[in-house]
Amino acid sequence: MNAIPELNDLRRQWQTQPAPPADVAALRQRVASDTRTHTRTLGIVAIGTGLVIAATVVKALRSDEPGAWFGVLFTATYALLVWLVAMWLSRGTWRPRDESIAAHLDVSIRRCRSVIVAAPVGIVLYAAGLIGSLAWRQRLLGVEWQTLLETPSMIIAGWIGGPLYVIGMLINAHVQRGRLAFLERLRQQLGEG
Amino acid sequence: MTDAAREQRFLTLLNANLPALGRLAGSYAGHTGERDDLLQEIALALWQALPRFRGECSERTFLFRIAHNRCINHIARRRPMDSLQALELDPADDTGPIDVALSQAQDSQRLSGAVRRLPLIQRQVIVLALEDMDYQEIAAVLGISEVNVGVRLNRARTALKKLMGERA
Repeated sequence: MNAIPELNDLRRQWQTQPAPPADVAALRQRVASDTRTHTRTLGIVAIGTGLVIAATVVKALRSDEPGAWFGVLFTATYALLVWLVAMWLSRGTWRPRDESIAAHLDVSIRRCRSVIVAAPVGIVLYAAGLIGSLAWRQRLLGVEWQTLLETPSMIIAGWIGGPLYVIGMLINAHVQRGRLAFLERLRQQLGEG
Repeated sequence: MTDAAREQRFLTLLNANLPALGRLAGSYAGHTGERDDLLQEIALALWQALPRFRGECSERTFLFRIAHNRCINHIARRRPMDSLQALELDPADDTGPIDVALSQAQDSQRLSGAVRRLPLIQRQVIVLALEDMDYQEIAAVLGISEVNVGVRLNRARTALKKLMGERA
């Protein structure tokens, strides 16, 4: 009979496992690098938004059409709307309220739900952005619909980018639904007596 | 907390607990590379959480709480079916006992393998108990009552016994 050793024997066995390489310097570099990446990502998105708005301003300055300034207004308003919706969707997902497991699970679940909700909202916003930009050009600049639909920007952002964006968002939402089911089950189990 | 103080505290905590954190990460990882990745994620989480440490518990408790949270996030990020299997794996209906004919030198590996096959809520408790934590510390790390720790630990020991095999 090979009975299970007592807890002290188990501790002795457990603690004789070889330790991982104590490459603290590498760990520190990774930590610093990941922290920088988090900050930079948000910065890059903000800069990208600024560049898009700046590009429309430059275009309006070079244009003789008074309606071009409506493009600046439309782009800035649209960018503001997207940021506001993104901030609203990500409320409560930035960091856990404390270091407890419950708080971390709560944040993970909120992040999953946020991505799931963001899929239809993002698709609607994307479509609204495309339709809005076409509509103001057609009305204020007098460009024909047929011409607008064949511009390179419409081909890239609309005909190619649109379906890709929709598929990407739906796949991501599907993955997050699976993860959400797991996390909710995990929370239920961890909360068991 | 200044950056220098934060870094000093980070390095001290990490250096003092690296072997224990490695074992903890190993109990959630399938192989050495995954364990090392998880260890780095724990280090990142520790770095980010250090400024929020207010001394409500010991630094060791704080560190293990972070590490456990990171480990749960880690298994949650796996493919959903893998995660559900990890969550629900029950020694009672799993594969047969681990080969007890392994030599004495392989005992720690055998134990480590058995711990990895425990259901999550039992694995959490037994890993901390094996790191010399008492009921109070384990309860503080996991955010459950000491009575609950006792119940889970007993179940974990029974399950471990089954996994490590009783052979006539």
